Amino acid sequence: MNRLLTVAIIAACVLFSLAPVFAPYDQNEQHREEANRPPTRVEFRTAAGAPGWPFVTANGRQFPVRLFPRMRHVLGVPEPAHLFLFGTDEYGRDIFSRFLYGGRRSLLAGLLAALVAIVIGFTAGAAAGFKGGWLDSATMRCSELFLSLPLVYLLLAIRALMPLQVGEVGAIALVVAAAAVAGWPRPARLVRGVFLSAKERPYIAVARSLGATDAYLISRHILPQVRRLLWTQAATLLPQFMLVDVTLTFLGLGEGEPNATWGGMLTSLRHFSVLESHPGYWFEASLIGVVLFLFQFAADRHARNVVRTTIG
Amino acid sequence: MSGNRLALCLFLGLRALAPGEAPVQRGGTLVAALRAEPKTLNPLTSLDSPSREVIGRMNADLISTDRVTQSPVPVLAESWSVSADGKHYTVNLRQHVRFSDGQPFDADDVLFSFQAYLDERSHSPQRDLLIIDGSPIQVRKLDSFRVRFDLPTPYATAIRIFDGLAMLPKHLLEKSFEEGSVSKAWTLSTPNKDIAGLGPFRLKEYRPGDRLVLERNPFYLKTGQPYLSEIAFLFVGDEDAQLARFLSGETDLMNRVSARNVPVLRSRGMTVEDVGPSLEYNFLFFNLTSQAAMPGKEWFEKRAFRQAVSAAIDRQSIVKLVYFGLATPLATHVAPSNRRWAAPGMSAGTASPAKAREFLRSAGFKWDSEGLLMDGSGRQVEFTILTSSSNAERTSMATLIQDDLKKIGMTVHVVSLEFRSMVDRILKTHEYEAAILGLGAGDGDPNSEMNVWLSSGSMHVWNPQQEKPATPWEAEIDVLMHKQEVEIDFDARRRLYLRLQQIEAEQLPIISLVSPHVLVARSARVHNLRPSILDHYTLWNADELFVTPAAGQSEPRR
Amino acid sequence: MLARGLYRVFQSAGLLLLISSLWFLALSLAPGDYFDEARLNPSTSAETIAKLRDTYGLSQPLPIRYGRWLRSLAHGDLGESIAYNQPVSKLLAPRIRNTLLLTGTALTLSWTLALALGVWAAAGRNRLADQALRGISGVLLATPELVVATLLVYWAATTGRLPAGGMMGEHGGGFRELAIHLALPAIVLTAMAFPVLFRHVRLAVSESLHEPFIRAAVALGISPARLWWQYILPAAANPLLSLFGLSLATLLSSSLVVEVIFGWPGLGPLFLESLFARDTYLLLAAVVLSSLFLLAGNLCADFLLLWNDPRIRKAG
Repeated sequence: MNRLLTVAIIAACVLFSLAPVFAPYDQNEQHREEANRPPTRVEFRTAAGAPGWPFVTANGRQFPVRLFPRMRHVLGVPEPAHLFLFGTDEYGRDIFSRFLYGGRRSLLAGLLAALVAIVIGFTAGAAAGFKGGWLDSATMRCSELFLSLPLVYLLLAIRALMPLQVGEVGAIALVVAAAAVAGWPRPARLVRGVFLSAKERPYIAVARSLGATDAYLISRHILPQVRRLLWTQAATLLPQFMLVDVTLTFLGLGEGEPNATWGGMLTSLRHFSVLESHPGYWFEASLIGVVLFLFQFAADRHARNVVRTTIG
Repeated sequence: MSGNRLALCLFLGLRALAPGEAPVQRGGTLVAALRAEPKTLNPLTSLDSPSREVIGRMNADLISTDRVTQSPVPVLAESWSVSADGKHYTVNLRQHVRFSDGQPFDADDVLFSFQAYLDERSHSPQRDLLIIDGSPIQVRKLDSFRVRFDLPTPYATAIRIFDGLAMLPKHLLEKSFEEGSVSKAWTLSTPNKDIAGLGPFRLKEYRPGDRLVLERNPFYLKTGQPYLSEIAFLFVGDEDAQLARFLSGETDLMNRVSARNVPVLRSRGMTVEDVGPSLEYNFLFFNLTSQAAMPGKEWFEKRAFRQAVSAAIDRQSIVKLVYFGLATPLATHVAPSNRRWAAPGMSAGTASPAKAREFLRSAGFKWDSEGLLMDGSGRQVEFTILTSSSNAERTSMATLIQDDLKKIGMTVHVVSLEFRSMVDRILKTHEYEAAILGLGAGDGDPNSEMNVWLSSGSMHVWNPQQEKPATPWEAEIDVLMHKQEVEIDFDARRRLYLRLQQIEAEQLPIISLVSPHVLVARSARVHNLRPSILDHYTLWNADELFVTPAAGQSEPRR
Repeated sequence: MLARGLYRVFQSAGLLLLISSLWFLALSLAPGDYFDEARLNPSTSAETIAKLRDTYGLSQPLPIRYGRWLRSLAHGDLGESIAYNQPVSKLLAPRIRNTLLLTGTALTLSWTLALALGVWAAAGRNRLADQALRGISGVLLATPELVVATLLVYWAATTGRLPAGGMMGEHGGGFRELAIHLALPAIVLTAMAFPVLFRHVRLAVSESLHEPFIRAAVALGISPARLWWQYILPAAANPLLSLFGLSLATLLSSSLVVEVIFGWPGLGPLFLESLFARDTYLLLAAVVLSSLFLLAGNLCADFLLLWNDPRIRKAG
């Protein structure tokens, strides 16, 4: 089970990070004559019914699906046939390709944001819980401050100060920064709670009286208790952060067209017209759900394994 | 003018008796949706369209523009006459008219209303319409039911000024007017009894965040009307939510349906009426301000560059992909549907990358080995189109245009910003290169476009509020616009406006794209609906609408 | 204890001041103002817009505006909405009530479910149910609320079984009307809050089950009821109390997206509208109030912690 999970995660990472290779088309390539098409039918059986090499039919002719049709592309069919595995959107762009490209961005942004939020949250929470006193109240008030920060407005203001065209890196950085800023207080407060109660436990007092240093106490006694909490937090934060641009797009603050993002694509499911006429978006939404679940499940499992090794 | 009214009544009478049309039924509630909550019930200060929609049902004007025939129709006026020099208007008021609180209406109320609109302390956005050539319209009372309006100069559209200008009850607002606080009167929390109007409906109930309900005004000037006993306005934030409420039968009307939702509605057997091209025009324009220190700005100033962009844009694709065919491509900002003002023989034409390349070649542009466009000094042609993220259609247009321009070697980026951030960049900081906007042309008359075309205008988007015209053709447009404003002869005015459109097509300060159709969905229980392409698309004749219990819908509606 | 409480309250008030000034700053940095939309109306002149801006003091420098706002706040006046021309408090009061109705219901539902199921799953009697609950909560975590809410609206609009939005029927309130309008948004909010709460409850309880003193208590043969109420649950309570504080804190802010999608007449749609309309004082009031909830929620959590855990009480 664990091995299977690892393989799936690695496969997903490879698939999405190499999106330009696996996607049959570029994310922004428009085929206007092919707009709003349902998924292309790929057939695996010849007319006689015998299993054969997959092909698609166009203009009454059959075109075999080719592996490595061009440099740095894995799948494709020759013109005039098209390979739209999830169909096309309103501009005739391949939804499947956009799903892969969008995944690359959302995974990167989500993982980075979760990492940054948890690192900041852990550091702040540990310091506050362990040291206590003014540091504790300062950190906690700070976390409250950040929880009520005008995030949306900050985004607007930052966006106004940034040059007009931000590029892909800039857009990702913006999402990561926003998510991390909004995301660190929660883990911080939870970590603090653990530290706060852990340091009052009798065995800590005993260890301390035996001359244990702070560093030893934290790494030997408290950290194992926190690790599980952190992984649980990671499990809950990851999907939230990967989809942070869903909310941003919904509020009209997302990066917008034309580059693909998962948030943008999921937000378009809000339109009844898309819900009813684009089965590709359904496939896509379910796959996004599967990927998020995969990551979340992995983090969760890890949290349980941590417990087994420390307690068992 | 009463003949006009008679004709209208006859027309309505015939409609009511036409086969297949249900006979008029009284009572019942019509439920409509507003995209936002109205902000105020004060006709003086309302800026936003939900407020105007509600206020329009609660109030009446002296002379109105019929939304279908687009000709003036007397409402509170019985008749009017114009002096030979076109500067003096005498209006005879209808007698025995009462406000919705039962108080009588006469010339004093008219005088008071104009006084209130013109007073600076009222902060009325309508004030600008009442100031002609720098001096305000003078209003004089001849007797209790006759009023004279004196204009400083002959004014082309004088009669249209009255449209939408609600007449106010002096007995309710005089006190706050004298205290200088009339702009704060009639908010949503004002008690019902302190608000009165001359329209077919009056306020019944306001539930914050949820709905506003109007009830039949028993003192309405057309006896027996309105037929409805109530109109309820639900506040439903966006079109998808409105669609949900409409499909579930909670609302009876959808104003301005997006083309993408037409199949959704029709597949369920709902009636969607295509009223035709609206007066809204969507356009692409380049930043031509002098303070914009953008590299490559000199491309935008080249006429051939703008012509090339216009030639390369595939408007048919925009119509087909963005509007599912329910839009009209534009050659100039005047939609062909605006028959009084559109230039004959001007059509948008089909996209021609070859023609675009020719324009570019003539202006000294070249292509490198990879097919990328370079200017004379060897710089790659690359720019950004700004759109508003709140308007999906315009962002879609930008995405299509981006691809069109790629075919002639231009590298275009699309940036969509939140609405006010975008307006800030275009009108205030001028930090942008190109943008797509849409403007509604008011009532289709050139006078509602003054601010766009005058070089000193605040909505002269490509280069707003100039001290003096930056180019000879902008100077000519200024002259044309000022001339048409005081020209009374329609044909002469039309010639001036056609000349403007000719300049527009040659110089392309704005590259007009498409005009979307006005689409209206209604449930089968609504009758007498006559949607129009002008603002207040559906409920402008609310006093004539009536509802019948829908067939097969025995369950009480929520 | 009282002194400490007062100190915390005092601290929170200072923080509130800081938050409001930061918002004020961010607001003035964000481009555009309320009258931009009127600016796009070709028949409204620039002079009229300038005059309108003046009447609301929008052209005055930031510190003066902030000072003025603070002064009126000190008098208990939250200011006036630019868009609605009305005192902010009049606008907010009914909407806050509606929001609390929705989030309060969701909070009660999600905590009840999470506590019951979390404890049950942690007790480990039924491994299969535990796995299933983890799976469900994992799936819920991986589903954006926007998608769930949209699907429910779509379902409601298509089948007509429940209203697709709003809060009241044609003839106003009534418990039945309210309940059928409340059902869908409350379900979405509960489904979104449940997995996080469930996981934390399960984790906290299963951890406290593994504590040596619990094993000792079990070995001593203490009755199960007493074991749970006096040993296991209090030991598991600390992180949950913090979490409960966070839940309380987000009572006003957690339902924004859901309220907008379901057209619930709460704070969410008004907040969003004022955000995009740059309706400064309305927005500030909404923010200050939700920050107030946030601070109060956290304060509440801290006091609960103090009450529950003698060790922390001593340390203070």
